[in-house]
Amino acid sequence: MNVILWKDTKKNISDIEKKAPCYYAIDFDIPADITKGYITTDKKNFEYETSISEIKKYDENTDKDLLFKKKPASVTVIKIDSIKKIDKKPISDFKLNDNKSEIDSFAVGEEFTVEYKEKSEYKIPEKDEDVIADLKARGYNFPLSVVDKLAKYKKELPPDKYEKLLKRVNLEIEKREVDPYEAVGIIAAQSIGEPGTQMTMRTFHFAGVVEMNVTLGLPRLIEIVDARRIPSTPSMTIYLTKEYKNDGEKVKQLIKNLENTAIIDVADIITDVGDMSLTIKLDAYKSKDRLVNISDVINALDKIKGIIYNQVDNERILIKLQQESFKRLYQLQEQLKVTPIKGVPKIKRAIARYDNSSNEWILYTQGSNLKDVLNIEGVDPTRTYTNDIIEIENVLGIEAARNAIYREAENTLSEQGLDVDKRHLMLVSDMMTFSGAVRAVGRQGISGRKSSVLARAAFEITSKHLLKAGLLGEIDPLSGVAENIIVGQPITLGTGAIDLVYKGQKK
Amino acid sequence: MIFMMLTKFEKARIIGARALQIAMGAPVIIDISPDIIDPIEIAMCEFNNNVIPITIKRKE
Repeated sequence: MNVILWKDTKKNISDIEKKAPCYYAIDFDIPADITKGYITTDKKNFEYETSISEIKKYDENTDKDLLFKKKPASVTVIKIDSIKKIDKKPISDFKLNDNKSEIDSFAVGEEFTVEYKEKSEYKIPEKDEDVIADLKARGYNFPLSVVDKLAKYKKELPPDKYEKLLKRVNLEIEKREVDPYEAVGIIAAQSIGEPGTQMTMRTFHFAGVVEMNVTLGLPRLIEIVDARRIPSTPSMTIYLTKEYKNDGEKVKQLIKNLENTAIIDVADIITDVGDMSLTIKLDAYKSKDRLVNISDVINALDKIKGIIYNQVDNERILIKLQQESFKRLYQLQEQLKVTPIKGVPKIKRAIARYDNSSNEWILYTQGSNLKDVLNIEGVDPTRTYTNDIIEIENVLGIEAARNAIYREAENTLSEQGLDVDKRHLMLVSDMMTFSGAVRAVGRQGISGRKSSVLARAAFEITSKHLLKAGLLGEIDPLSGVAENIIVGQPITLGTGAIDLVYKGQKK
Repeated sequence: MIFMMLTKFEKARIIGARALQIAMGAPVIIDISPDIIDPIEIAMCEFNNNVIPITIKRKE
């Protein structure tokens, strides 16, 4: 549904607020099917929502009792039924007909609507419910996976043995629980680090690369933990919607629309220095493979400024400069090479594979652009995945990034046949994301931003941190481990964290 | 629900503190066979009999 967006002064808005419903004359010709409008005062964020019920041509003689935006230039009169203040909506919430990043007068656009789908609630299997009731009666608290296994024994075992079993399971679970003040961080670090040493040798080199090369093993693990802006091999796994996932032809078409094709991918660029001209010669085989024809190339050339182009025949385009200059000619040649013709930016290649277990086509890409790919028709946005964690954070949010870190680390390790308990990996991903942004483990991230001065000084660049803390008068509450070691106190972990009290005479 | 069992750290701390007292000459509370001379062992024995006059204070 289209809406109208415009910028207005605070005074006008307060006038409308006072008089609504009222007629308002504006200097913009708006389509007649609009019923909703948004007003901004700072060109970027929309603060007021209005409902519009009537749109008519402005007539100087007949219309009276109007409010004017700009009196002399009025064209249209709208009836504003109501106006209300809303939470700020950024301009990116609207799809504008002309791509503007600011609104200084009027614009017509479409409001993006978000569809919320309630996730179906997890249902506890019926057979487990009896067991859960049993546990509740005894005050035990077991994980569901254990309950699932117990359900079988409830039927098979006689009651006294079943009772014994519950008791024993409870004991084992309690034994395995992490005690308060356990140094879980160190344990997690070592539990990931030790298997990490075993990965090294086997994975720096790749044998028998099959189509797509993805960083694996230790280099990938380091990449995840470092939270690099761009991974060395970004790649996506694109799942398709029902209509597309079994249709080979549609999948092929989709791949061509995905792959980012530059001019150099489908044509040769010939530079003629004597003539000061460039010739683009379309390669018949390559262009057919990428489903590009000469008019696509011409469309792409339209966007380049300062050139005159001429189609010579079916496969050649002659390009001349408006102002002749050798330097510019060279620049143009370089620019032409990378000029995109079609496809999604950053997606270099896409491959489709038929997955026999789920009976559908799945696309794998080289390069990642989650935001744009999710918008393509036929892509299932609920399952599509990228290995670029920072991109997931930007597009889907921090909670998704946390899951991505966990999932990537888990996949990297399990691919090598290493079995690291998932709680260690979850702890790492939680630590990296709890602040609301993905932070690396290390100098720039977690260690570098500890709240305690002494802990930071102990980590790196001691004098710089101490000097700065002195200048700013920072206070160290001595709550961490490193600080307490520095000042020579027992640390707040394990036995060091426990206060003893005299119990007195035994009763 | 407050978990009333001692954690392994609390147990170790209590035994450790008591063993230090015994090592420095504190009287042993219960009768222990004269074969046991290691203060830590004596403290553990006392702990198992629940006679050590020390308890822990948990932080909020």
